[in-house]
Amino acid sequence: MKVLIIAKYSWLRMARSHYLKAFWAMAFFVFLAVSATNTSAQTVAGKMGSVETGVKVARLCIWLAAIWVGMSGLSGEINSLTARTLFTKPIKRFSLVLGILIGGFFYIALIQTVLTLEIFALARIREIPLGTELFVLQFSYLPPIFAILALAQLLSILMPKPLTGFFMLGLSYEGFWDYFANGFEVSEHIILSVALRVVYYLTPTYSRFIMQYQQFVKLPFPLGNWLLHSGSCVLYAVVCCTIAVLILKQKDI
Amino acid sequence: MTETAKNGAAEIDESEILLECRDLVKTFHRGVFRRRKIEALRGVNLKVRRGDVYGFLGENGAGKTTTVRCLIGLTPISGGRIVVFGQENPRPETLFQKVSYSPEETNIFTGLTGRELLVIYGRLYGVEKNKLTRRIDEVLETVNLVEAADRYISGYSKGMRQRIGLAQAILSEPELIILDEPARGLDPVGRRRFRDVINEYASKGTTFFINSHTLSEVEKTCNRIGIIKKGRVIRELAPRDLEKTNDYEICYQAPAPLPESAPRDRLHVIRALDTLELSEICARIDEIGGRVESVARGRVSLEDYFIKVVGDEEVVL
Repeated sequence: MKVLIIAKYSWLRMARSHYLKAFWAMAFFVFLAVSATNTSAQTVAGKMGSVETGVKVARLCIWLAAIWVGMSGLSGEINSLTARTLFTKPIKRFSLVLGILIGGFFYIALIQTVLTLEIFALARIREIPLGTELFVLQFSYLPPIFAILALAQLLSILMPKPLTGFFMLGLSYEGFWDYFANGFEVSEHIILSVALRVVYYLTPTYSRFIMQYQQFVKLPFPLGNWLLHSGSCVLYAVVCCTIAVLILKQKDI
Repeated sequence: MTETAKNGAAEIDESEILLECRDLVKTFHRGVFRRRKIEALRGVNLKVRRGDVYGFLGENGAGKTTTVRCLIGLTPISGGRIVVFGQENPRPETLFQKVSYSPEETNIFTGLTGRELLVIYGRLYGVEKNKLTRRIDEVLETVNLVEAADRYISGYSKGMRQRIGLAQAILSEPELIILDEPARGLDPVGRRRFRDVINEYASKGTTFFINSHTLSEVEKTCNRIGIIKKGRVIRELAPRDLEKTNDYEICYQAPAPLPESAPRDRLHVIRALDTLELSEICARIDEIGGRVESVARGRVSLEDYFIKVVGDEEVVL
């Protein structure tokens, strides 16, 4: 239960932070701009194109918000010294770290929901036939977002914010770290290649790659695969939280 | 540690000790390769008894806040032992059921209302929902924040933030309360109220550990005082010990006063630590053609004592 109390605290902290209010405004105006630029499309294909653009913008917004929220949750508490109050309450450190993560995740899920509903509302207004697949697909991105948040939270207590941002852009779901890791010939650049691979194996991208494309465990129904993938993302987040707790034990708060 | 501090610790009944530091050491490693060592604490020894209101004093950078942070587990220690309620290095979830901490006013998230903050912390302490509402009202009444309870903390004055910090510390009625600079930013009325709150809870048996710069408040509030200098506790005393000093206050008239004296009305005042110094000073006043008007037994204020002790460790009570 205490995890949920911390999650509520984290949620309130996110909801009342000025930079996230600014993010909401930015997301809304970007979406309006995208929909306005495509009003001239008359064919179904053209209309679908505008919806796809909207979906991509929404995903980009969610991705950036997840990185930002992950970076500013736990490390925000530490940097603003409010952690000194929060960490001196009768709660396990793991529950505290997990609670902050869950609060941030719920906040991102809210943004995701609002943006997805916006897309569907626009599609309905412009008489574009959208199947439920797209709706489900949008929400299927939430488990990897959870993993991204956890990774950002972990990195943010290890290094300064700009450096965390740099790494997260590469490490997160749609990042380019895998591109670099796969782009080098191992025989020519052994050290660099190995180093890149080590980092690549830590990324949610790699986890997604294993679960969705390689599929060590093939289940006969798609929902099973999704659940397996989601489970791996949650496990990934729990591992990140555990490492974060171990680091915090050695850190001066 | 000095003999005085050692003696002070030895007088304490071991069974009554609530909080104890033994040879507490904290070394910070700074620099790119963490090679630069800063010894913040170099063997802190202190004991806090049940029911004590313990004032912890020291200059800036002496190690007060580091000691507090070590005590509550916000900073890993480099050496020594911390024993709280008979347990060495207790887990936070058990420790903070009995101990609460009020940080400086800037260490509270200001995006919540006072009541929201207390509700969240109260739930973390495991206070039942129906009891919590009543308890929050009581605590807000105690710290005089009833009217401001539903306003955001960001709109609070510095003193109000201190008071909401105190409110969250006393919310769960813990056995030990650690306060970090509690009187900072409080006006005289606020200080008086703060003192009353401490006295009220101390009379119920709550133990306080107060880290402060405000010597007058510590003198009025605390029954035991520890003074830290350069990472070591150099004195432990009770304010009543200050009355035992052989201090004399000499008022005199002279055309050219002695350099160490201070003016008071039309006279000059100088202090002598003992009878030997008293006779020396009287002789010097005679030499400069002055006249001694009065000699009175003085009481060293905590401020004077603190400045002397921190500047010169040789002063003995």
